Amino acid sequence: MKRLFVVFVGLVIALNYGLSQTPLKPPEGALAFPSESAGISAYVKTDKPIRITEALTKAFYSVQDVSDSHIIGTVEVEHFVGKVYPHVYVDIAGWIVAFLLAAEPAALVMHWSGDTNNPTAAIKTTLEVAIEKVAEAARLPLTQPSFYDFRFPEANSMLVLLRILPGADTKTMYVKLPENHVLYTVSYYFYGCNFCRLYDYGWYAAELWLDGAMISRVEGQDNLKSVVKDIPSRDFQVDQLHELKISLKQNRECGSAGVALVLIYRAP
Amino acid sequence: MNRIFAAIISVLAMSLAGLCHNESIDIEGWNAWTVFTLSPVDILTPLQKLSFVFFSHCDSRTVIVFTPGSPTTIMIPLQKIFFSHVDAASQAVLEEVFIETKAKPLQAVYASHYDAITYIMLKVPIIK
Repeated sequence: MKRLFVVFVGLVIALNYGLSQTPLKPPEGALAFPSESAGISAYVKTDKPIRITEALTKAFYSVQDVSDSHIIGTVEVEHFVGKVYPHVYVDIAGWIVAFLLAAEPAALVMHWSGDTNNPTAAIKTTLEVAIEKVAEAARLPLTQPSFYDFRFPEANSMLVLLRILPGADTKTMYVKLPENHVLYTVSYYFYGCNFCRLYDYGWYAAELWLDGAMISRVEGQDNLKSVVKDIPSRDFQVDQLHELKISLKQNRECGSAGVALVLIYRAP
Repeated sequence: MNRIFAAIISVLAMSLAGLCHNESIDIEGWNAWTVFTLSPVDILTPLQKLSFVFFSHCDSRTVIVFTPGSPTTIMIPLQKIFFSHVDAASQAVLEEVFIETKAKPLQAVYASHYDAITYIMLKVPIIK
């Protein structure tokens, strides 16, 4: 009888547990940061709480989720090569996190400065600009952001290399990571353009080569074309000197070309 | 003798230069370059915001979290942990659990509702 009672109680508990299983949902509010879908990120933590107001939502290009305690969406960041839409997460605890999606190449962090005829050799990230936009809308003083890549928790560095061609030219660049580094991902943001807008003067062709193989080519007239891509890991490894070459041909000096190479790695 | 000594010093200096050279990244021909340091984000552990959670150690490898009456508000992606409801009394213990579990990925998560209580089971490799 006693054994039967124990079995009955066990059955009741098992049924209660087993039949009422429910899937876990992402947390709401301040804890809704989608870390599983985030890639390279820039973030600040303000001292003061942030109010989720309508004024704040206007900094966003699109809002994907909003509550009293958080907002997440995309922010439009424009530079002369194009527009990028980093995701931005803001919560009342004071977090502002701008991030690219895990599937997006990290090279999208490159914020090209100058203009199509006079590109500037300056490195700034689109993530920083996205945070600046949101902080301005929230009327918050801005602090220097930190960076993190949610895809690679062990990575501790991001290197951005930049080469621009303000006119027709060919340049060769080299990069080599030492053997004691761990390389997680390499991507590039490459563009070429010409805007003469007179006869066929605006023609151009720009090429990007890696270790003797052409990996990108853009050609056009009176326009700008760009390519953002990951480089397969087999093509870019540590302890190997890699040669990159960029070239620009154009009918008149009204254009430019450039490449930004972004490496995420762990240095000892 | 001096010449031999100078040669030895020269070889040592070259070796040392070679070693130092190998430890840094070689870059050449670029207009500009910047290294951004990547730092872990504290957003994963906003414990100070938590309220209303009861939990207990089940055994050395499992922690059970009870969230009475609230929807399931917990997410464990890889090494990251989110708790949205923890009362002040439980916070210290939870922080301790978090510190213990932080170093290793959580392995499994189960949730169930029973008698208006959400039971969340975190199977974690607790470091002894």
